[in-house]
Amino acid sequence: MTITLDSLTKRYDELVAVDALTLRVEPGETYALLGPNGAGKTTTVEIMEGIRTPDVGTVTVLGLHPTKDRSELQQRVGVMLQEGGIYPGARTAEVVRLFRSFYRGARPVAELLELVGLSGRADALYRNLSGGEKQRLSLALALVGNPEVVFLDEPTAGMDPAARRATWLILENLKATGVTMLLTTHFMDEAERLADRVGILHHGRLAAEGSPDELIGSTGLVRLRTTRPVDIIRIESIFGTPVETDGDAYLIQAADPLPGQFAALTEWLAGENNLIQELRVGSGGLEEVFLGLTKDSADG
Amino acid sequence: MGDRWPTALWEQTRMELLLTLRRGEAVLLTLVIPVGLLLFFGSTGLFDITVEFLVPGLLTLSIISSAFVSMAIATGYERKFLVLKRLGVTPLPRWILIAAKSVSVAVIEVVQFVLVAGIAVLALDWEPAFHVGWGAAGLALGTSAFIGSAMLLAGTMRAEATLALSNGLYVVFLGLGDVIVPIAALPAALQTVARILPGAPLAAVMRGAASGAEVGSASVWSLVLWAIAAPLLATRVFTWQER
Repeated sequence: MTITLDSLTKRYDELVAVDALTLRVEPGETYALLGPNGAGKTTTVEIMEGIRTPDVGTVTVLGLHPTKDRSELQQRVGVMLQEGGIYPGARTAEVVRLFRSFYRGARPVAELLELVGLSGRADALYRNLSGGEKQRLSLALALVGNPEVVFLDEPTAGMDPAARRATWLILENLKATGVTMLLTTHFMDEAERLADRVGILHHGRLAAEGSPDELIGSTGLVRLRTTRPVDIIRIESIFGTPVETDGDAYLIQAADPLPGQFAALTEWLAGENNLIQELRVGSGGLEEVFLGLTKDSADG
Repeated sequence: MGDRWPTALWEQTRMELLLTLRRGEAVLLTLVIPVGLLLFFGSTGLFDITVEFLVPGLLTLSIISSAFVSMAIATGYERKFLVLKRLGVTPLPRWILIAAKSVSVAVIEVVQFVLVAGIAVLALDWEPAFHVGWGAAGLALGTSAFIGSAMLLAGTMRAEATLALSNGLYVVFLGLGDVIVPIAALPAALQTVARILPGAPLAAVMRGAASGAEVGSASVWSLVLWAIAAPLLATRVFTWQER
């Protein structure tokens, strides 16, 4: 195991930020922590990075202790903070040059700037970079020391769509070289695209965990709306699963609905002269899973 | 870090110096004001201030401006902008960061000393009687006391408060630091305050360094106490991130 968290708990006064969290990340795996604001994502990552210490529980990264083995661990780990962290008055290339001096076998400045698409901004002051450029410089700094593990706290926040896709490509290439990645994100598409496994964090606990496919499959839904109310028992008999209502819509809990079942449904409704206003199959993706699991959260 | 630490120390010191030179207010504070005060009072002779009194006073002000005010503001904003937090998740050991900051301050102090003493000799006919021992002691103890005090502010307060307070204290030291106004000219109550703060004791040591004046043991002990207590207290209360 590259990362292990066991019964991790962290409180800020009365607020329990992380609540008995246990988690495993395997070598070479990309693990995404997904959750609404205040779910405990950043606290969890910062405990793994050694910035914060847990009240209860144990953490290992590459078999090492984040604070006791700090000097050895930091050589092998790359970190991208959620924001800031760079001298506003320093130039892009100067910052990379400084960070290179901290690591054994660091990557050359020009190569790193090329990688994140900042070659043309080498002499720009950090404070004059756009939000996306700042994020990309921060990513370059996470990769300076050829890390075995990378922690990325909302790596594409503030990026335009083109920069986001470019960053995904960088991370996918990194993943292909066997680097273990742990990222937090608000973006479902990011988690779906990059992560081997996703943990949905809610009130400091894992509300769900699995591959994106598993999570999406676990809430396979058929959503039906019609002009007039229908007989629920009839729908249940067609699909062989329970049916719930959501306002004027019917939610059919069918993970793998068959074409014949839809044929039977539409034929029956046609016979009733009841018009279909909406019929959606499957999940809208992780977003639906996420919203379903975290809907009690006001700030979600 | 292993055998990489000299490279890291050099690069970190280089960054500290580059950033200081890019901050206009730091250059104003550390170089322009001491030289400006020297030329103004040295050439006008206002308030009967002699060059012999002025030079060690301005060497004291130089140490206060670079080791205290400039360092407090820079570190306060590095903390606010999470630079200290980010450096904490690199292999850079804390002692190298502190050493780099100290070396960068020492480099600026040497430039300040050369400028102030050089201009005093060349333009104001100052005849120094250097006492290298007192000079080294003043530089080392004064720098330690004032960097320690800078870290005490920068590591416990918001950056804006550190900025305001350190600038305010600069003015206080200008008045109570035996820099331009002789401490004997102050009202008795202010004299007591001035002797408790580290400015006047440092000025006394610098007078010993620049003109061979006798240095009172109370000044030496006061400065030694500040030089030990301020950094020690700073390491205990410093937090790397604003709350």
